[in-house]
Amino acid sequence: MSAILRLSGPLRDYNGGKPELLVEPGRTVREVVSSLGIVPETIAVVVVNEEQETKDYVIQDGDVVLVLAIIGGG
Amino acid sequence: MNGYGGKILRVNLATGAFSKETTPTDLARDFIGGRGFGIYFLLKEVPRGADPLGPENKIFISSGPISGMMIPGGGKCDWTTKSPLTGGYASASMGGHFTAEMKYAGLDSIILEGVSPKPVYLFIDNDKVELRDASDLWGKNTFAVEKQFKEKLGEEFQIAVIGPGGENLVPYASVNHDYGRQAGRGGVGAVMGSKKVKAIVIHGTKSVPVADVDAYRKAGQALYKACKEAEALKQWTSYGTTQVVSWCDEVGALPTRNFSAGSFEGANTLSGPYMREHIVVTDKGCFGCPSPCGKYSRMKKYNSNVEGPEYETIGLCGSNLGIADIESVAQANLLCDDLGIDTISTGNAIGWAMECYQKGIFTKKDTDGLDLKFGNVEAVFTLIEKIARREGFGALLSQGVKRASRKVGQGSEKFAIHVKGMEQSAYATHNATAMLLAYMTCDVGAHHNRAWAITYDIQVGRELVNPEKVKRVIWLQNFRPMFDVIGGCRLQWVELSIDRDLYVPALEAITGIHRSWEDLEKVGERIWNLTRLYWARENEDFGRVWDMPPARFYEDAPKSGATKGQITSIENVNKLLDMYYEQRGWSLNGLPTPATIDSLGLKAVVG
Amino acid sequence: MRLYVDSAKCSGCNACRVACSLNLFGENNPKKSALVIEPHFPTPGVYNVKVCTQCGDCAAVCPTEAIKQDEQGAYYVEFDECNLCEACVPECPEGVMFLRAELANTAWKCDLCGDCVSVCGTSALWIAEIEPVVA
Repeated sequence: MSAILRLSGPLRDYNGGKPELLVEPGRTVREVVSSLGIVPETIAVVVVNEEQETKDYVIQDGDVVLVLAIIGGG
Repeated sequence: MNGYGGKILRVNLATGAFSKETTPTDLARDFIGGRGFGIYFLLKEVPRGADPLGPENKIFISSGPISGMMIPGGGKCDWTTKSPLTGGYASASMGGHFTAEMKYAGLDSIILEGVSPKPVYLFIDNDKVELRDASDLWGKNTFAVEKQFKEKLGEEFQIAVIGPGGENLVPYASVNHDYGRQAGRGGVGAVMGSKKVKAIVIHGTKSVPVADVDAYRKAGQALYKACKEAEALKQWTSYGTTQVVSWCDEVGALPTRNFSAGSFEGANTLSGPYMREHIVVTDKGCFGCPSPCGKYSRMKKYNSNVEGPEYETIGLCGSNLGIADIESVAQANLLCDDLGIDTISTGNAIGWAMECYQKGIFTKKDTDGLDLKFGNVEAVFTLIEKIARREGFGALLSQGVKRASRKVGQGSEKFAIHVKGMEQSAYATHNATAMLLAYMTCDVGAHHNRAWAITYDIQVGRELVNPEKVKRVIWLQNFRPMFDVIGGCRLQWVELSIDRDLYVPALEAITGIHRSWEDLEKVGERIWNLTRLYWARENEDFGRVWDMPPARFYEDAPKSGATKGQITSIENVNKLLDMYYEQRGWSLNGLPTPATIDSLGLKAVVG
Repeated sequence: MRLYVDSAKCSGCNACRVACSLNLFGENNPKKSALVIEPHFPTPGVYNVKVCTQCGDCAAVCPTEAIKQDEQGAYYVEFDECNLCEACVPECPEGVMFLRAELANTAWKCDLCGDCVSVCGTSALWIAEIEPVVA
């Protein structure tokens, strides 16, 4: 059982520079990114299987979860 | 000169005379273009103490080396002038296609001097330059005028036009272009109105000279490839800056009811996805942009269209006014654009007025009978019209919140949300010290686009007051505006996280001059000090007191939302300034020291 | 093969036209490009893009046979052989045959280089096999 977590540019620093990692389903996006050391509030957008979700979405088996950081804005 | 239009056009509006001079190579070498040219000319040519709406002020419109080129974001021109809103430096960055056309007409800068005896528009078609009668256009809204010009002259002409706001000298009047882009802030539109220039219409067919065409094509293609491969591209293109609405609400940065809080209960119907689903028709972009942030929308309720609203307008004309209906915010956006006034200052001023009304400082007697409660959409539409025409209650608001609150008193100055007289843009900074400092020290007043530091605050600890935060703000201030200097947009780097070093070979191939980002930031630092010196030159008492934020952000913690109960102390506000001045090489009162001026090689410029 | 466009995706940025002029003439000048972007603003607020469909009508009418086909089968103008007679321009059903004597000493058209596709950030442009037209 696994899902894929994909990290946008600046977030890859929290994954040794790699863009993707496998994660176990059953936790929220918030919990998973926190465990990597990412401050959840720095994430702007969560896209799960091409649909926008919140950080409280519980990751399911086979999901592809893309998290995008807010880096600049305005 | 490679990468440049080649000429500076001067227009003497009083005499109707034109002159063109070749763009000096050392100006291009030292100031590069865009707002670099702007501050150089402003310091040199507008005499100390000039009335911003008088004949001595000038408008300097400048493109840059990447404008009109095959470079992502090569679509911005800078409009620099002395601000009628603040009495200091104004620099507004206008997107769209105007800057590209300047390059194709062989122009790096257009300088408007003096005052025309009657309404005119400036007509430029390659080497043909004329001032033409605009008496039948005066009084008309911007969309109708642009449409008229496009129909008469053809789609290849690019149009910049003021509305009644600029004609009536509203200190935050804008210049409009391409049905949705503006030189928005600081009152550039009013200066243009004071000169009786209704519009500039421009067309050019020249090729821009390039140092190394093959290297340029290669470097440009590499930049586009990086943008197209960016993870964030699809989301960004879908929502543009509206992407940030939900996040700002979540972290307490969304200005709500005159910045009294940072979270808004109606944020869901103002969000990017909601807006896209309900009103967006087209993703509209500036010249050369692979990641178009413009969201051209259709408001069925009002049978109208607008480019927008983007985040700032959603913040200031939506949540800041207690309005949760995206179509109404879009309509407010359209009214401001069409009348030619800045949506940010307008929304901020109306928000101040609504709080005054809430507190009983204004009654219906003062507001021309308008029930100025937060959330009253119709009142907002009526007020926007009154502000642009400076009629009735709109006349007071049209002066900006600094002047209006000074006139009105009764404690209203405490919640006039401005710095240096410019209304704060759409980030509530109750407990976000880097962003607070960014607003305090921004070179045009409380504008966000120099040092957008709110994510940094959230990332490292919003309440922290330490030298690293200050260092971050300074770096952003030296770096981000360099995109305005090279004639382009920063959002490809900002939003798509592309490697900024990809711009270096492109700039070199175009201009023939190698510049690293370190070199560019050095120019940025010099420009930053020059704009600071300009403020000091124009204002006797300029210094620390001008950098102080609105009292709301150190006295008035929000009673709701993500930042409930959170506020920065006045001690920390001063501590931030102390560290900032020290790191900048400025005095305790916030002025560049002689040693700093010298070390930056600025003695020759400022004397 | 031919160029295709989905106008609904066009943002009006014109990067394609600069890329095109750089390919055709080695110059940075979108007015010397071979595709057309028609803005329709303020209403309905869309761009309409015209591209060469490789129909060959221009070549059929060229009196000097200056419009040839390359190895891909794409039609292009051999600049030296164009006599500026302008017969090709009204023949083009898409309006993407160009002659502006003040800008170039030749007519010009799309040569299917693909640079426009590479710089189109919204993927509005792509190159694919020519689909047979259903009558």
